[in-house]
Amino acid sequence: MKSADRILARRYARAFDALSKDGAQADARFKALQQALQALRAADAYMRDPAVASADKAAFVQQVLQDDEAVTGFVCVLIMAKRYYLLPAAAEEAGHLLDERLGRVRARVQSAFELTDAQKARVQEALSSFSGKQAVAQYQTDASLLGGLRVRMGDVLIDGTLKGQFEKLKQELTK
Amino acid sequence: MAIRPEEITNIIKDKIEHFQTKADLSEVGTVIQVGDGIARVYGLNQVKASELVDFGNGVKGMAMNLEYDNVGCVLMGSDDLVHEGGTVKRTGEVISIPVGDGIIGRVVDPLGRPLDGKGDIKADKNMPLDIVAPGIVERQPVKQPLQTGLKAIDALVPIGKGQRELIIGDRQTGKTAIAIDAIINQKNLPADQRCLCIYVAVGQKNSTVAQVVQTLTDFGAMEYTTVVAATAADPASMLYIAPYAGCAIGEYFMWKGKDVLIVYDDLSKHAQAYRQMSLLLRRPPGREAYPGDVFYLHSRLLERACKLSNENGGGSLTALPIIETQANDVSAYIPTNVISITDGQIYLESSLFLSGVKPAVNVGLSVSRVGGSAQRKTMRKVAGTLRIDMSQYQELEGFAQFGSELDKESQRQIERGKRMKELLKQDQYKPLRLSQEVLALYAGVHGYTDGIAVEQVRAYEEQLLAWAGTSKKDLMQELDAATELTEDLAHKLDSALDEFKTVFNHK
Ligand SMILES: Nc1ncnc2c1ncn2[C@@H]1O[C@H](COP(=O)(O)OP(=O)(O)O)[C@@H](O)[C@H]1O
Ligand SMILES: [Mg+2]
Repeated sequence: MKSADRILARRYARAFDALSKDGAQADARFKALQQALQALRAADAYMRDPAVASADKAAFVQQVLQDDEAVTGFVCVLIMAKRYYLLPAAAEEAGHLLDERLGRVRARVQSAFELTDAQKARVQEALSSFSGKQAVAQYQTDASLLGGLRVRMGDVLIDGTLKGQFEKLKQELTK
Repeated sequence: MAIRPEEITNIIKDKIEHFQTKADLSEVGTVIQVGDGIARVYGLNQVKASELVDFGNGVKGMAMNLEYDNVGCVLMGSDDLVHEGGTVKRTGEVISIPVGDGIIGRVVDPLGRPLDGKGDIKADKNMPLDIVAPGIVERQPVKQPLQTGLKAIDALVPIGKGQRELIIGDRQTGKTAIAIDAIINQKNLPADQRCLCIYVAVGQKNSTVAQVVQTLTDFGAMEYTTVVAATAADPASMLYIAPYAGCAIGEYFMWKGKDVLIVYDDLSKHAQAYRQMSLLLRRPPGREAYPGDVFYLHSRLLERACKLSNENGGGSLTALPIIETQANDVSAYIPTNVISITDGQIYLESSLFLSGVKPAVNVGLSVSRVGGSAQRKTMRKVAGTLRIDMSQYQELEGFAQFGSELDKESQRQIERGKRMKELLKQDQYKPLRLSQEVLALYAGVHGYTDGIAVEQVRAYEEQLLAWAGTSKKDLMQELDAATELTEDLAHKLDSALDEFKTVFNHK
């Protein structure tokens, strides 16, 4: 994606976010947006077909999505501006804005083995106190890490894996 | 050197024992686009301008454009090793170069990595490449001469230690030759006057740089010279930082009280590399498509040349930037910029070069705005007369071409001028001692060459210097040391030159 598109997507996301009065409403709207995204994925070929008129696409969207007006409106605005392709990026940005609004921070936690629930709770707590925000962790396993944890949270990367340590040791020894 | 395996084992054991097993915390971003030596990075929100960032695989980059939603970085290595989606780490450092006495005599790239295959360079410290130039109170006026060993320059465009003198001219006019001769000449000087030299090659062919290094080695000049090379094959970012790297090395020695001579060959290519980077970073182009801050690019570099005050050790950094013009056009953007930043220029002309005037210095257009006060008094005395002789000659030369009748005095001036022109010629790689320069020019301005055919003047000079070197050793030594051309000394010169008349062998 071009960086200009990213700026645009963020602008649309910001407008979408501004429609909600409070955190609870924003949260609900965001969930609706994600469902809409899911639903429209099935009709992707149609939605991206340049031969179909924008008005037809908008009418189709209005039929398929009926629950939340703001979400339907948002998608239709993108369609009429011929920027439907921005929708996934805009939705992602909207997610970031929602996190900001709710004082949340997303973290991707990678480990060599599946963590136990107790371990997950400890990680969650440590990350929350480190960032000063409520950390929402998403867990992945990657056997190549050998041991330890790797956490990516916003712009911060915390690498405590064995793989990383070996990597560093290798650099140290070949210097 | 024998390598003992157990020693290596011990070193490794030591390293493993002291290895820190703490988790690594770093600030990162993601590469969203890469190409043409530029990477756009998403994230890195805290990164500072000009900070060094790490792309992994040994590729470093520099954060140049801090934009609203991305950071534009220039890569210091091959962009094949950087992939979209890859992780970029902040380093929290600005670019620096390792420096120490060990860097003298070496050929390095702008990051201080050796290019001469002579092994690692032992460094005392890291110097950041971009340092603010010393302020006014930290300096003192330029007052010691820097001998280039070239008559035309030492006499007519004298350079002082701490000065910035531009060498400007078309391609193949002997710009590099002048700078190399000035470096070679340092070997002629007594140790207390000798400069350490740094030759920064920007955007030249690898073969050209190899040739320069070979020449310097052959003349024994690598003993006190460092070559910093970013060749045409290197990324634009390397060309961009090369002059700053050279300058940082120079400053290290300057602050240790040494005199340093640095040659930037050449700043036209430096500006072009910066233009390439700027355009790829989508900075707005200005005149000749250069970015708006191209003046600052060179002013902040050349401002760093200076003579430090005695409290600061009295070291100096003399800069000889080189600019290559197109068809003698000195009014193009980069030439005018650099002319206005420097303390004077040595203007070389291809028409002179082709008509056999080498070095092809255009005496009328070349100036040195501060070096005059630094010139040795012996030289200043002969140079004063020389300058008048030359300007009168240039004025009359035009008339003479019309074949108009000239009075006796004018004819004499023309004849004198022709001989002086011959005396200012000098072969490459033959820098002269101060005494030799003064003697040759003294002979000219005092009419000793007037009776000699113009074509014989160079032979006269050559024989004179050879003869004086063997038969008049004491006088030459006295002349080298003299701070003033006293009446007594002038008298000795006169009688020596009279004596030589009988020795000179017309060919
Ligand atoms: N004083 C000189 N006498 C004879 N040849 C010279 C002299 N100065 C330069 N040359 C020759 O002229 C050519 C061009 O010189 P160079 O310094 O490489 O030019 P530039 O750097 O301006 O392109 C070289 O082959 C060099 O050997
Ligand atoms: Mg050259």
